[in-house]
Amino acid sequence: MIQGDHGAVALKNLKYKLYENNKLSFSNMKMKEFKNEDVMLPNLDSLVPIREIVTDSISATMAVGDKVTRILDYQGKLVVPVTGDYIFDFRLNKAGGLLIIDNDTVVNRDGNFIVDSLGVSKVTLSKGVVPFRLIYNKHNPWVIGFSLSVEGPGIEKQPLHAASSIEKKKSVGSRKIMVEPTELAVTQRSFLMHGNEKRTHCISVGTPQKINYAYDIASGCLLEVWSGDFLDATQMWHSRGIRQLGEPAGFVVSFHGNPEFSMLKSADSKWPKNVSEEALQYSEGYELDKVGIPIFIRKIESKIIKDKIVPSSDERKLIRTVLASEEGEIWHKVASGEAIEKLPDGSYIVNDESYFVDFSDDSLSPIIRESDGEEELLVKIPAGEQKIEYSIIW
Amino acid sequence: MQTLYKTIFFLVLFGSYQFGTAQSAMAKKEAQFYDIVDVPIPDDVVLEVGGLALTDDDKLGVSTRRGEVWVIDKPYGNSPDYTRFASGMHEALGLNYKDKSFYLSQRGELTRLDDKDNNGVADVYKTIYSWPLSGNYHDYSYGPKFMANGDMLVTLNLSWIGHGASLVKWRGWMLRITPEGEMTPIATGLRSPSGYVINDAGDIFYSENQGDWVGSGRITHLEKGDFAGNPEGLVWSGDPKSPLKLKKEDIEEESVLSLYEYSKRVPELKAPAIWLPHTILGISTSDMIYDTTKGKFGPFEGQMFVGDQGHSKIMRVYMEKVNGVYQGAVFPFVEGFSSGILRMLWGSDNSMFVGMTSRGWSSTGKKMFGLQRLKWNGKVPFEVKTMKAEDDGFLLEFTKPIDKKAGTDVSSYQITTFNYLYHNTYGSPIVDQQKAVVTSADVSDDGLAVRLKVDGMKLGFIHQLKVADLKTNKGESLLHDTGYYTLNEVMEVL
Repeated sequence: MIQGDHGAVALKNLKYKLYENNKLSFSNMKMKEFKNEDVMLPNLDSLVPIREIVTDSISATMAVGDKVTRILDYQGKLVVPVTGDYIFDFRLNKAGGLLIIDNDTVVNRDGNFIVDSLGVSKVTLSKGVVPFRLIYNKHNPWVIGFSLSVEGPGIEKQPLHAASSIEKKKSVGSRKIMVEPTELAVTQRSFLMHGNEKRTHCISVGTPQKINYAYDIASGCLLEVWSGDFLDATQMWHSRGIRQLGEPAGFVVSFHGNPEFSMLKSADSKWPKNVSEEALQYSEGYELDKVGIPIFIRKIESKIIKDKIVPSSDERKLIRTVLASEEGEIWHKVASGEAIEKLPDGSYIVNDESYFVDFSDDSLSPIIRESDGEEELLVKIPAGEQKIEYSIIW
Repeated sequence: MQTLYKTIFFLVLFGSYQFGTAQSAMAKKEAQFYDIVDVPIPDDVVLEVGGLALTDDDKLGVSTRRGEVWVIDKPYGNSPDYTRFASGMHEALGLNYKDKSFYLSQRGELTRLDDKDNNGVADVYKTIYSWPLSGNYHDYSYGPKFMANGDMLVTLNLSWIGHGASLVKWRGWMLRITPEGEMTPIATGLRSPSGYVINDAGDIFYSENQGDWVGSGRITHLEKGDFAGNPEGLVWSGDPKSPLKLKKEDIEEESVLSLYEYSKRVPELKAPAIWLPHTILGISTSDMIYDTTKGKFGPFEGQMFVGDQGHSKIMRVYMEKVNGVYQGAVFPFVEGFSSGILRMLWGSDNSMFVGMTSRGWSSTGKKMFGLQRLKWNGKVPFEVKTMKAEDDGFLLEFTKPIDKKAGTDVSSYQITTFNYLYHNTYGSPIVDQQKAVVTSADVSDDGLAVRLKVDGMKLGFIHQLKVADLKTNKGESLLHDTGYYTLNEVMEVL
């Protein structure tokens, strides 16, 4: 991602490709249609087709009928205009299939695949005709569609499927539904991606200072921070909101995502990574202060934790205040990563300057420990009323 | 060719214009008795209604799919005032109010909202109980409803992965949760339990949408340990908290039986009290409320009204208990609402608030969302008021005295029995359809009731009653001439 605030940017090694007007085409194409309900392809030789036709195009819509499940098996010849390397991309809309060129399975998508998942293969072809076979397994009665595109030597990317075969994705760009703070901070709960993991009990906080963060209520952890615009809610609020994701509108700095508070048995105990059934009940919710910033409240066994994260007005910085009360000690994981280093000024640097942690009070004596090949910055919070304050700077 | 295109364009335009604005013929007739009135919504409010609740000072709370709670002052007038009480929650598909707090289900938790500083905006978002989510959009959560002792009920929708599935605990279940957050699973077999209600006796009913294992919309009386039909939730029956031990594998996928028949094999399986025939009385059953208006909403006191999201209409249910089992009849009531009905609530003036959304699930009423009121205008429609099962027929009561000549003519009444299959595929064809024969019709002296003797009543079947030509003694036709009685039991003759 290129952002405006990273200084000068150089682009190197630009390449271009000249397109000629060549096209690939089919000849002697036949299609057999089979009834089938299975997600994995059966042996088609053992099945009797319900129809067999000659066709000059390939399209998912040849599986006719209301909510049917079908297999379409296309066999014929692919006419190759010039010798060279060709890149095929076979996409399926919640379906399975195979692409077989020159009797070689070049894309194997047997199973259940979505349109967003690439089905790419590079194949070297000689000018002339090669055997071509495409199998489309429409095992989901509710959805239809496949696409097959190809690009080659001097040949622009082109569809080989009929236009009807797959519905073009409508652009949602023009009707994005954004959430933005007003003079107060704004909160929004949603599903949220943390790396490749979908988190389900998240709340994002957008502030008028344009310093934003997301917190996972299930784990009890600050998940990520970003500056600038706040949250894109289109994936939640457009139509059914199938992905149900809130999407941070800026470049995020992501944290470890583990529970941040734990009753460790000893200073050597492993830090918990997952949320147990019992731990899912730790959240007591949150209260909003006068400017709309939430104070997250957790009750972990005997301990009460109140956790407030406020933005700084003039830099990419969050100030976090944790109040702990009641009996017993509890540990707080401040950071973890490949490397954590204490700097001469007393602050900590995490993962090669991804972010810094600065304690206002060094009487806390945080420890850095290694666990599972990672370094962790931990603080032990003693029993009784305790206050911890630190800044996260990125 | 040019002309043809123009004609087609004109027809399309004209056709959709008609569709968008014209009342159906039935809606026109119903409007002689019940008025549908808009509650105006400000242009900048996206009121995709998830829940409705009245506050102590007669303001209307509305929770929304965008996670807000709006409090509407003067909701009965032309210029209501909207205040955003809470925001930022995750698809709040229910709302309740008790002791100055709002309660609602978000996707992942049961929440209480308080206004500590009394400025009209919530500052406390207290988590009462959290449940896991799979990340599937279909993990909807509904409620809460309060039980007599203050405990709450919530229901959790199945996920959708090409079929319904319970990917995490307790999807497909009804849960009971104390105000302190102690949770007990009550019943499972639920698929899409967006509507549920507790009657005067404390009995719980939930409505279901046609889908896998659900041949048609239906209303089921749920008791602790019940299994309502969709086996996906049974994957958690091994949990120590589960009130039943039945396993998902215990249920045959294609038994070729009706649910009623199958329930005779599996005691945990609860046959519905009411079937709502698919595409006739709706396509996606939603909320239910009892008529508690003491006659201020028409002649149906104590009966139940049932909303439908896809058809933007409301049905009416008369239920009775025979041999300790609930059953009864469903009739059309009022159609022509502006969007998809999800919630209904009585206003203090005995009008019915109707809260709607059609985002993602289109409805006959074309608006994306809406809030309307249904008001009775004081005129009594001629309707089949109740339909009760007897051991040899049905007793019908009418809202007005009937013409006795036609009333005693057995050919005035057509009864057809049919059923749905209980299987893992989506919906069901109508099966075992057969005509029953009305052998006698005795009209009461006051003309308000008729006792039908019927040959061909069948336990576990839906009995369609059609009374097309019967009129009152003043010549008025029935507003709705069809009803559907689900017969689970007949009175044991002593």
